[in-house]
Amino acid sequence: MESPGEGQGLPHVTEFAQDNSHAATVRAQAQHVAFDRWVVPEIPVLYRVALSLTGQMADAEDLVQETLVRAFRAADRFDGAHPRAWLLTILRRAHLNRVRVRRPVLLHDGESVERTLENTGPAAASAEELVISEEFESVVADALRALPDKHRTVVTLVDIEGLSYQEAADVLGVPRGTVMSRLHRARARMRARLDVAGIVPRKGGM
Amino acid sequence: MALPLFSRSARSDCHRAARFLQHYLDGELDMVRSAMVAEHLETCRRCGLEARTYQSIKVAISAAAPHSDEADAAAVARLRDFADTLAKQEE
Repeated sequence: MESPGEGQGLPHVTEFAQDNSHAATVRAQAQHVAFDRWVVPEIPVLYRVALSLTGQMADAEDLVQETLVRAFRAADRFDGAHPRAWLLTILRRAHLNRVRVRRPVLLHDGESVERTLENTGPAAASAEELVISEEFESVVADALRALPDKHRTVVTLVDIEGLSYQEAADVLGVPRGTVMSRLHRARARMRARLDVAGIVPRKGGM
Repeated sequence: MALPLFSRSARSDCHRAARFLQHYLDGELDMVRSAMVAEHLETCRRCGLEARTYQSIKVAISAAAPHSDEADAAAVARLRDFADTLAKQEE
């Protein structure tokens, strides 16, 4: 814990050491290094996920600020494994805490999520081939709004924010299998709406 | 189609492809199974169409989300500043 070799890299840590114990110096150094290395790069992801959870930009920003404060305080104890999962769990707890003290702001119809898309997985390339009609988009948008909140949130996290099943599970505090089943049910509902509307996607160039 | 998991019959190929389709589209499938599903979708018109339907739903969902790139970028920049300040304050 009190390795004398650590704590030499950062000037501010050296200054800090002048009037504090060595243990505190080491802790502060570990905290800063971990925070810069594991937390700061994830800020964009945290913000987008927070937007999905809160549905409002100001709330999302507050939530990420709180997550950053919590992450900073715990940074020296974080082992470096799966930083995003660790941060999403912190974000979820911060969100639950806020929901407890305030009325929950859930995704509501019409303005579900404000965010950008920089998703996606291996299937992304084939998406470019798809030509989707306005009618198709409109039916899907309606179907998305009609989903129960729990289902819509999972769809938003995975399809819009580009989270993996496990990351979505971390942020929602549910098992990965629950994410999968909610996702599949949500898609089946949307698919059923498309069937009812008699819409079939066309492939570009055909 | 000589791969063991996808070789017994056309019907069981379709069944397996359907089972793995969502994971495949979400990029959650391992490479071996992913390749199997991709191969089946190339050769089976019905499953291929099914896959395109779900892929189209994914694309339409992302299109349904209001975009506000500039506002998002500004918020992220403010949060980076906040992180910076936070680290300095706690020194």
